[in-house]
Amino acid sequence: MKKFFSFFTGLIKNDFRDFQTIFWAVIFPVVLFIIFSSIFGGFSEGDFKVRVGLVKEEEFTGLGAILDTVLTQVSGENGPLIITEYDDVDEAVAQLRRDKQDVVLQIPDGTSAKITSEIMIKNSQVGAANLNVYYFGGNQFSEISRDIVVQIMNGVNTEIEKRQNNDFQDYATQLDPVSSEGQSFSYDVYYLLSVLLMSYIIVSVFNMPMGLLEAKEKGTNKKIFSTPISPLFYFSTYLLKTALVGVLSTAVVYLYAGFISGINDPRLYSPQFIGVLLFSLAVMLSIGMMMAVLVKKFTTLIGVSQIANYLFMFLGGLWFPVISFPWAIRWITYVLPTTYLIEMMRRLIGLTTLQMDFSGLFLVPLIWLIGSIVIFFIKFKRVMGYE
Amino acid sequence: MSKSKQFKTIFKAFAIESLRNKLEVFFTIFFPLIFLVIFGALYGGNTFDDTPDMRIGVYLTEYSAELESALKENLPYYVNVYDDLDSMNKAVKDGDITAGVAISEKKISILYVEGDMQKNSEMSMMGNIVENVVEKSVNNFTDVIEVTEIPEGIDGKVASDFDYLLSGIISISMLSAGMFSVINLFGRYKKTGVLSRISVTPINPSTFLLSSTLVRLLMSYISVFIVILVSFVMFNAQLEFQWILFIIVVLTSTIAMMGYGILLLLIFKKPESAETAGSILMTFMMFISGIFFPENMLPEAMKIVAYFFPLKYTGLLIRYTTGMADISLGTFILINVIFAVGGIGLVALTSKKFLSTT
Repeated sequence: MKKFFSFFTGLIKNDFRDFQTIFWAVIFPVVLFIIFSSIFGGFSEGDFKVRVGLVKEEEFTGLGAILDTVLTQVSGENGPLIITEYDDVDEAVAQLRRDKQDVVLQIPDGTSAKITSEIMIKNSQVGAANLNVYYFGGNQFSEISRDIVVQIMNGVNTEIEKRQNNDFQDYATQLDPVSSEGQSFSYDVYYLLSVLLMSYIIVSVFNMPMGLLEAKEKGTNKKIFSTPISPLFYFSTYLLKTALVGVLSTAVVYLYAGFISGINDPRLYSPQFIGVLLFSLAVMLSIGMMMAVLVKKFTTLIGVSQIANYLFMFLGGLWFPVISFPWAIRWITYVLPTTYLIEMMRRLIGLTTLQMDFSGLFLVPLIWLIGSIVIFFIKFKRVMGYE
Repeated sequence: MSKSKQFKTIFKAFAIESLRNKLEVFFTIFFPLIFLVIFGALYGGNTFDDTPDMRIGVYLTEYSAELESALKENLPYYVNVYDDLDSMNKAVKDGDITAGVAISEKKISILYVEGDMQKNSEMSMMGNIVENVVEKSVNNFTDVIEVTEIPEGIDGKVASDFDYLLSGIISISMLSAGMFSVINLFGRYKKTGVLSRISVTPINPSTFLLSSTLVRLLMSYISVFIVILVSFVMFNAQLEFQWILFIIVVLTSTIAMMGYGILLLLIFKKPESAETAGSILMTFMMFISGIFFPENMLPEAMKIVAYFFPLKYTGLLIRYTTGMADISLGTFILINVIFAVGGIGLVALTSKKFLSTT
């Protein structure tokens, strides 16, 4: 026991002296969480302004003044639009191309007359007033801005009809997310789970195999095995040390979330959730062990680890739900353990993004866990460098 | 040995060494490809905007042939009509359709799976579109105001979302090739003692510098062209390049990224730490420089921070050379000159320092 404790402490100290280990495994997940919550906090809440270049080719008269009222109501302090007026549509479109405007709204000459006649004389021969909305193709934000402007104009049409038609049948629209089934959905909590799993990915695909392979390549193992320490004893201590780094990383993320971000969802502290965290750590560590035996060279391992990191992270549905992927790539996501591990965590806080029984979610990660351990122990002598 | 012969020999040695170095080949060539495949698949097959390949389900509690036909004709999505709510919900949950629209008397419910950053606002937008079509059909009225949507582009060419993404991935490939190769080059060579051995030979430091950076530049070009080739073959990219300007941008941007890598190496001393810092900065830059998400959606503070990182400008230059951004020629030249002068200056100063102090 004393031998174990002393060796374990030595390994821990060695790890903590290395800036890389601490930064990647313990601090980086928190940094990424801060980045994501600050970037996408406004993103998901739709808290953004749209720059509209307005080209009025006439002064509004008669019922055409309705447009003026609407644009005032939805701009400046009152709404999402920031309006800049231009005399000429070419000048406004030039500003759109230079990303100085998100969208251009052109109100042609004769608009007021058309609006007035359409309202006063139903189905007049004059026809509807036609406005032009210019947007920059391929620029997502410009396309969203275009949709906002179009919806505002649709709202104007509906409002005009409502005022004229006493029997107007009004519809109310409600967003009904099936993933949270009526519970409140917090992107902060959603990303927190992703960050927790990401920290296990880092510990497993980087720290775990790299430490083993580096020790083998540098001959540290041989030196250790010349002492009474057995390979199994060395590996058990090493595994426990790596798991501790993972647990520490979780603790730091929890501390940041609880004390600084103000996320105090009690479900995050339930025994089931903690159990899933430990299971996730075990699965990911086993994959790290397998990588150490399947990759022979340290330099190759750096590349393999990077690929594994991005595959597990992006295709495992940590940042986007896997059902967002086209089928050509979705089948890969169904083979990855992270797809199911993140889903388990989400289920325990009331979210469902993957249609499967909770118990069924264990299957793929268990196959990875058992398969990785078996492969590792078959090649145990090689990775320990004493075959 | 003449200078040109010396240059040729060192250049050849560096080229062979670089190609043999799996890590350098990985970061230069394969790393950007991973991003291309992951995000290309996401953008290529998944559209939450109003492009027609978005598939939605509709369930009408009281069936109306007129309403069904109005929805099919006027909604900018593929519309599948369901006979019962449960099968539509299942289709949403299974990902067969992006959203399900349940229309009952005076109520429209939009069912969708949460978890995508942009989805809330997009679904809200979809709700407005559906509501408008339903109200128009049920109340049988015509619009007083009609809106014509006119896509704009540079020189009449309208880019797609994927083209935008591709310009970002090309920028990442230059960042990765320039920054990591220099960290790898000077860091590894210093650590393994190659630099100290070279400093005692008659090799001119400028020849050493020129040949080593030229190899990295060539690797950057290879990386960029592989990314372009794969994006055309796998994802049917439609970018049209102004090749001469593009080649200039690849040159100056890679040099600038090399300078950036040098800066990190000066700050962090150990190549491993500089590599870690580089990876973190790269992740950070990717999210704030308008590569994967529109810059305009970022909080104001993040937009300001983005001005201090080169990836924003590289992305802009690439979009300019592919007809997706309109900047003045003066701005284009200025950014390129700053990139080239800054990058060369940093690489030259530092390599001298590395060669003289070893």
